[in-house]
Amino acid sequence: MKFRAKVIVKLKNTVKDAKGEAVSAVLKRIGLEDAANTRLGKFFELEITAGDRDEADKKLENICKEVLVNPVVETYEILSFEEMA
Amino acid sequence: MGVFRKLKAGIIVFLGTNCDRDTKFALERAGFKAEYVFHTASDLSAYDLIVLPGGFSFGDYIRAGRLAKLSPVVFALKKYVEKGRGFVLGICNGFQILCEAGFLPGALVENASTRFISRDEELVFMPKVPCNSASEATFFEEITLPIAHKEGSFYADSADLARIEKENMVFLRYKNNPNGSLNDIAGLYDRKQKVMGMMPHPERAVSKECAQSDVLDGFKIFDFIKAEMASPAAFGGAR
Repeated sequence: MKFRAKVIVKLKNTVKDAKGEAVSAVLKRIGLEDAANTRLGKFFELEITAGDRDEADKKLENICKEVLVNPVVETYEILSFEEMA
Repeated sequence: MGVFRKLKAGIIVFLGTNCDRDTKFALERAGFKAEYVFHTASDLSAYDLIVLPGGFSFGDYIRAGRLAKLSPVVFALKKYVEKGRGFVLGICNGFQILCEAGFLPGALVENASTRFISRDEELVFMPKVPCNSASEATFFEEITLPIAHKEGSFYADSADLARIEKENMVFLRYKNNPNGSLNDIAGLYDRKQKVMGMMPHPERAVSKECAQSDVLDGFKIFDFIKAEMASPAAFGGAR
């Protein structure tokens, strides 16, 4: 079975997001939004091959924890994880 | 260890490392024997000192140090540290790798200014652990070293930060915090494991021809490491 995962990784809210602040400052300057409180993240889309759903879930969790995310400064969210047609 | 044997340093070269040659030059000036070790190496036991130099390992993809921490040589480094074989120094990208791989607490995030900063920076160097019996001034020295980074802002959660301070792991602080590092942290030293990481570049301050200024304070870092390696408590006699 083949699955496609979409994952976003963000800086924790306790960590200063310098890039996000720069974007917020520009949004304010051009008059589109005064308090955007922008947070920047990373988006990953990847394919996972596994025997069943459980195995795929475990694989994805390991990939997130060992490679995509540093829990000291980041959190992650799985946006979708569907079996591919 | 024989008195006349030069200490042997291994300089880890990842794909994208770019301070390896400067580091070799500096280590040799500081009296070490130095050679390059490719990131595929699986055994580091031949070296008294391992240096992870600066650069952009694996293009800093995902985050600085993230892909490098999964290199074979980093697994070998875990064994090296567990066995107490020798001293580990990570400079700039090397510090980022040591944090990403969990050798040192915390992480390095984007500079508060979002800019790449390359300039000499005044630092407070605290090689020794302060004790009550002597004045604090004995343990502090102001030095200047170049920095050159974009992700050099040190972050740790409050529990880790408290532990870092309690265990006197901060051996280097910025005088005028350039990047938003918590507690002005420029370098950490795990005195038990003998693992040191720092954002400033000591290897760029060891020759008048190459340094950004005439101040050659890089030697202070390398001399301190030599002194630590020579101390009787070091490495539990495992050598």
